[in-house]
Amino acid sequence: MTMKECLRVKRQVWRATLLLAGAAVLTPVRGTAAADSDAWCVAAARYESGADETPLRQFEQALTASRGKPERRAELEAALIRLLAPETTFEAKRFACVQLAAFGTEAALPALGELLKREETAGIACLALGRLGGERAGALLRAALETATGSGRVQYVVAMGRRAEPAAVPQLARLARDPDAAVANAAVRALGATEGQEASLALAALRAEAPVATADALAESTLRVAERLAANGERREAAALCDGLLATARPRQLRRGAFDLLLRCQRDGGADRILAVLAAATPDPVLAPVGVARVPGLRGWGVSGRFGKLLPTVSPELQVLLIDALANRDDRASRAAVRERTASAEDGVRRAAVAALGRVGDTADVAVLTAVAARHAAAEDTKAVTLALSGLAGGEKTDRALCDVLRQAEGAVRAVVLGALARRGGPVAVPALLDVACAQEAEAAKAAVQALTRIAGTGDTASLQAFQRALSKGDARRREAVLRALAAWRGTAAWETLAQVYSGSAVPAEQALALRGLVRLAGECNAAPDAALVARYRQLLEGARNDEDRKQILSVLAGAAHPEALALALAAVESAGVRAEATEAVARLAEALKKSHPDAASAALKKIGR
Amino acid sequence: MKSRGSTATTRRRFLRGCLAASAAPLVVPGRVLGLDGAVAPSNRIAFGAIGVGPRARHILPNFLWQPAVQWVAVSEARADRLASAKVMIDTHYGNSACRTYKDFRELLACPDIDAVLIATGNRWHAVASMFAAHAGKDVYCEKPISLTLEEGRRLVETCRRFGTIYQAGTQRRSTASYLFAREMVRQGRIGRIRAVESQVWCGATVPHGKPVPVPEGWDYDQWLGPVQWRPFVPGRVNSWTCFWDTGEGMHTDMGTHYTDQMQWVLGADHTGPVHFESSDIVWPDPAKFMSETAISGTFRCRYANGVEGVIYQRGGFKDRYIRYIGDEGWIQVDDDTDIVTAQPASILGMRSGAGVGWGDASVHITDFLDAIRSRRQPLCNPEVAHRAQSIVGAMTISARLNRALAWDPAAERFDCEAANRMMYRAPRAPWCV
Repeated sequence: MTMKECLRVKRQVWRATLLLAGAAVLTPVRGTAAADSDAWCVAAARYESGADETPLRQFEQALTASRGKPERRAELEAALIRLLAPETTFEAKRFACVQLAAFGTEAALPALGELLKREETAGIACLALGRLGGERAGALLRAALETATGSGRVQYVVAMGRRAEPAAVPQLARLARDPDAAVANAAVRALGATEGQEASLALAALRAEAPVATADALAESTLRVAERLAANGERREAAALCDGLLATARPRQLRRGAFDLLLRCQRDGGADRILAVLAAATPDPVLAPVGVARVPGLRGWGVSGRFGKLLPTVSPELQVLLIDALANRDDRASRAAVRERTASAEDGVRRAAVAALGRVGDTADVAVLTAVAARHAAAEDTKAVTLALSGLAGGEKTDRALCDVLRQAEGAVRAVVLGALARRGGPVAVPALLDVACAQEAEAAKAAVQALTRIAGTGDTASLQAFQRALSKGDARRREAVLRALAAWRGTAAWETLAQVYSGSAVPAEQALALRGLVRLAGECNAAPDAALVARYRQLLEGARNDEDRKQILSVLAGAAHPEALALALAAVESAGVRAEATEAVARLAEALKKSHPDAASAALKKIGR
Repeated sequence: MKSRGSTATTRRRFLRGCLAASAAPLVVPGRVLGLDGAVAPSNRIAFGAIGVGPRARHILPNFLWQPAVQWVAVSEARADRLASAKVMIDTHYGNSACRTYKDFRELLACPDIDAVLIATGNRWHAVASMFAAHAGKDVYCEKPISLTLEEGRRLVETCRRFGTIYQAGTQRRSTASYLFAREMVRQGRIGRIRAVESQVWCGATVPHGKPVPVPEGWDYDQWLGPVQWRPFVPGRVNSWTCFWDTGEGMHTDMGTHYTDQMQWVLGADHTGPVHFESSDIVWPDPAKFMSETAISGTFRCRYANGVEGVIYQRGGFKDRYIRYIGDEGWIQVDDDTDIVTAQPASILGMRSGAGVGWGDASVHITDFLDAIRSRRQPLCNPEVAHRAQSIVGAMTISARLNRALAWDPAAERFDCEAANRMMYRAPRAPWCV
């Protein structure tokens, strides 16, 4: 019998099976559930994209519902197996393989074996075989591989790698020397995925041959073996394999991986190995950063001190990385090493140390950092020191230390301290900042006002109290600086203070600043207008000192979409000095309220003649 | 198709490139200097993009404006997208130097490329990332990072094996509003946390469509990649998020952002929940639609300490949010507006500075670039990303099997054989690494 005839006979057998299944739908002796699956099977067998997918979904639902019902599950699996027949569409087979991947048993193996024989269905067969347990599935793959040709071979080898069965090792070892590089590489990787001594020995034999075509795959598989050895506590053996992968001729990714695993295999976490790499006359540019990245996690007495001692001796580039790593250790010795490097003449090193100290330093480092600013006037240094001072721990204590420096400092040091205090936003800095804001030096005063405004932007209660104290005791210049900050206050907590100044002060500049703040605060509340806001507008309008002030207030009132705000604006229309602004406010408010309060809006518009 | 400047993918050339790259000098990360200054061209990190569809075009500007980055190549299975990405990059640099490749393996073989952005369809994310790791490239990959749980674990192992710096594109970890919410929860401002609730939008449905010839300019085989072959059907290809082979629906796609946040806030980055279930799932009507993923539903999980997580898939795109619920209050971030709300409202007074919204990934990218230089792990490293992805993946399996599942986060196994089998899908050869 020829191959063609063989196939024809097989098709006929399958066709007969399908016809029987179809006929079974009409057979009353079968149970309803079985009849359902037969019906879905007949429909699914013809499935192609574009067709109704109801039978497929019904199949899926039945499969999930058959949990704990082995007979029903077997019926459904049998139906899925029938979908693998030659007569069914490719998409029907694909659907069946996806389902068998989750629910199939060894019963499906013969049909899946048939799919393995054809290149176009080998992939979908592996969908199912990749998940089927049991030795028979592996044996099926191995048998198929013996006769397979083309791209299917790689597919099978990958599936074998996924199964990682020791029984496959001899075949994989042979395929690892296959002239087809794709197959050989897949086989080497499959060996790497397979546990056990046989696979390890097979890989060792390959290493001895030093194959070129599979060199990278072999190195990767060797790493996998080393990973397993390390996980099993066989650190020395694992380290030996890693050592063999560190040669500079290897790809950098393999060297990185091998070195990292090597470090993990060391009892000291790799501290000695890292120190050796870093202390080399020319540190390895691939391994050194990998080692430094491990420094923060190293345990053991004296580790920080050893790396700290090495720190000034390595290249500036490595110093930068090591400073960051030591800072992440955040202990006394590492902080001392970092602190010492702030005196470096190398720009990059010094700035890295400054940045790191900002992360781990505290009050004691104020002097260290300001000394850097005093010695180095470059903008990069100033910025780095400002950021570092801003980040120092120590809260109020550090704020006070910065204020002490501010009182005596000049030039660059004063600039960085002002910037830091602004960023830190601590209330204890308010008096010192006000001192500078009221001083004669314009540039420093401007920076201090900016710092005060920034503190005001935090809306912090303690800061507000500091400003209020300064307002009650200060001279005119100081009061003006306080009012500028309060005018930028975040939230409504500053309202009463500003309102008191507006109504009580006799100084026009103070009145203007207070009103500016009040109008801004009211305007910010317009997004959610309520009775309290309207009361604030009423207070403002009633206490307004002149028509110019009323105009300002009306311009913001126009944005408070509340019926009582509309009433306030309407009342102001009667006042000749602000009629135009009041009319405009009424118009805007009526427009905003026409849906929620149509009658009031309509009446208001009528009153202003629109 | 191979454009000007492309190189043949031979092992020898690849190896030579790696050797050349390994001899590169150390460079200094901007973060450790505390500066955001300009970077000398010799210190720039050379990038290639794998997949340059709509998402890549959205995020590319965030990369292009990074002074430390130089884009040198793009690859894409669709000729039209490949061409327009080249125009975008060339226009930015004012030259015509960006190289183009249909097959990303050619791009990965380029010795002058240090890192890649992977912004393909979901089916490619983990596979392309592993190919990149094998080639010695660092990876910024869009979420979801994998299609199956086992694929995600393999990605973690591969990146560790090759010392790959990998950042998942779950950039909300670098977004001010989310950082603030996390800080408030961790400071105990809402008391002991009891639940994390989030909402993503409803999934789409795709009407049945028949196969058509592959359009000119498409390399459909490359487009499919690891997916076992299916005929080209426009609806299935264009709406790939709605099919199990190529995507896993909205609760997985967007949900991974929220499970990532949940893990981060709960301090559970190296573990995960122990129980999953789903309810109210509305599936597409198979008589009308060929799409497979859920239209709406409720997906739940529970941690060993009793904290519950829930993802509602309902409502519109703009309605997405995450809310942390404690026994003394709650805090919520609305993703569309970036607005944070809370109870008690006084919590909001502790927020300072606006920061960037989730649409700006530049902070997240900067973290990645610094990690490349220092070889430390970035914020959304493979383990972190895989754990977040595992949660939505497990929810999907629970929904597909229509049953509750117990999960062992240490062994990464379910209490159900079918569920365990659904953790893996055999890739199509040769897309297996």
